[in-house]
Amino acid sequence: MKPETLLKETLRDWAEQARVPDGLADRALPGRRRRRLRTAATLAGAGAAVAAVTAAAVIVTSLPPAGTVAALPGTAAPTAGVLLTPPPAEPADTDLHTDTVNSPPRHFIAAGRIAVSAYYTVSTEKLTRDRVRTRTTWYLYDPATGTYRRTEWSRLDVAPGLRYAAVLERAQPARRVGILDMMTRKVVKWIDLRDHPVASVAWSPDGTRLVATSYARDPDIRSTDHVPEGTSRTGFVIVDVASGRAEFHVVRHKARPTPSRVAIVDPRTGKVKGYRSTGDMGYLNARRDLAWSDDGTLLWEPEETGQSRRFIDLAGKEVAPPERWRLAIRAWEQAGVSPDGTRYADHGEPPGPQTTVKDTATGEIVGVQGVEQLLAWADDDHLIGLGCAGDCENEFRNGLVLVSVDGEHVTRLSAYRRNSQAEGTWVPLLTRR
Amino acid sequence: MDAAEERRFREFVAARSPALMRLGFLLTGGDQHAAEDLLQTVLAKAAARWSVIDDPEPYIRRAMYRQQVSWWRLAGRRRETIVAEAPESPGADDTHRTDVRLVLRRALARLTPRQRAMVVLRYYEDLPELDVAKIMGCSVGTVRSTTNRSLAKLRAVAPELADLRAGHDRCDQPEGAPA
Repeated sequence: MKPETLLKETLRDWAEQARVPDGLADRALPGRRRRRLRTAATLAGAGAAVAAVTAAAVIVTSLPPAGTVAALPGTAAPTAGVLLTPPPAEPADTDLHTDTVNSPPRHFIAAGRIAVSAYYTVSTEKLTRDRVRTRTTWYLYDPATGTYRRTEWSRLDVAPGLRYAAVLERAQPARRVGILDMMTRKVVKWIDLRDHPVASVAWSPDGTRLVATSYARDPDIRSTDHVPEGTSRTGFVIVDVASGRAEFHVVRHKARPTPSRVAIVDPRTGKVKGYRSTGDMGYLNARRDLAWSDDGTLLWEPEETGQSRRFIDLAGKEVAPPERWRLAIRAWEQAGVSPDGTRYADHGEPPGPQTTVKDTATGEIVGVQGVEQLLAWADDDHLIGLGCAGDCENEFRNGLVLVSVDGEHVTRLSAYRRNSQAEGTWVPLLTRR
Repeated sequence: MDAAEERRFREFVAARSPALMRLGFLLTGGDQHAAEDLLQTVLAKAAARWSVIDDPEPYIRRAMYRQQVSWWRLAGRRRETIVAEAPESPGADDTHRTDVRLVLRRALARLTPRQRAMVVLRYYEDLPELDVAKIMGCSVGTVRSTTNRSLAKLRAVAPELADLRAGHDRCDQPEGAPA
């Protein structure tokens, strides 16, 4: 091929990757923004807990800085509104839904107050000889068909109630977050986060706010030999979804984490040039995503040693754990504290499989379960966990089960994964329904 | 802008935004968000004087080139093109055409906006050097020297481009001098 042809074809192929955003003309026309802002202000004033924002064509990339009004309703024909109401204390449907045939699941899985709202698989994408990206593919529950469907988002989180998902585009860190209507599979609103691009997003328990963790670099890119490079986390953004208001904060720890030695990698060659101390950000893992506490008053980040999580307030200041977490903070089970706050999940005695449920005030064992892990509380007396197949000859051949606190009743919810450690295995996202 | 002009503007954007987004995508080195920003900024400027623009397409394309380079100048050239992938030379096992194109993309993304704009004008828009010079507001010699420097960078990672040269390397104006 002639060199000129090669260059031309490369440019043409590359240009084809551009996507055309909606509402370009709307955004460019003078006066549009002012009119739409007024509409938003009227809505915000009229709405008490509920703010209705017209859907469709709400793509907004050129907005005032975070902290001012940053959500514009579209000018296209109004369709269904984004009604962000707190989910009811008890979901309308608490029926058991299982799919014990397909792995990954094809049909909706749910038990008690918890549903598998999505699942993801992970693969490794080679960038250069020495750099790889961990690529996550998400399969999101489709309420219209009762199945899970593949998406192209890089990260997502489903709001309690399973009506909306917050989604991030493939390039990370992402400069906006989308609110996706799970029924129509359309983004009904974009919220601009360009000042502090983010690589993770999580809904508050009341389904009205998001915490998005901001990074300077894509936290999923690493060296092929797993040399720790520390985190590029810059802070987090609290987003009020109805108004689109976004507030950025840095995380301020009480005591500096112990510095570790991390590699300095040449971005051009991918080679390790030297090492530096992690200093203030004494973490080895690139991802330091934040999540909400169960009552939505605090945030937490996972810890690698000592305690399982570190709590911070919504302004980014580290605070003492809530009383019900005083003992639970030393436990590592994902399920955490029960909805009524009286019990928490913990590991059991080796060789296992065994988990325990303990009293949050005394630490006394309330019940023992023959499962591998406890992932979420289906109600105050049942948990969703990981159980292994048969007599547990292979601990990595496991699937989702519903188990009672006393361990007496175990119900299979999903099929068994062939090898939960293998790349490409499915991992569930558990959400209040 | 009256109702008829607004309709004409909307029709133009609806019809031409795919092609303009492709151009913006290349100019910004494959950055979807930056390309949207660029196109939106230029469309907003065009909308403000829509009634006096006879032929909007060349006007908007020219404005996109200039806007992209001027942002870069305003930023004191400190703004780097952020690419997730670092460029690498294709090794002996990587001579497959697809690999070469991927490597070329990464190298294109790492050119300065001004260098990339000239490469896009010459090899994507297929314009003669004289037209490129008019759009960029510089001399033909500057177009040649800038393009040659860009091609040299691309050749460093893609030897397949070895035979590609832009006219004579006669630098009438140093690259980056105020146009």
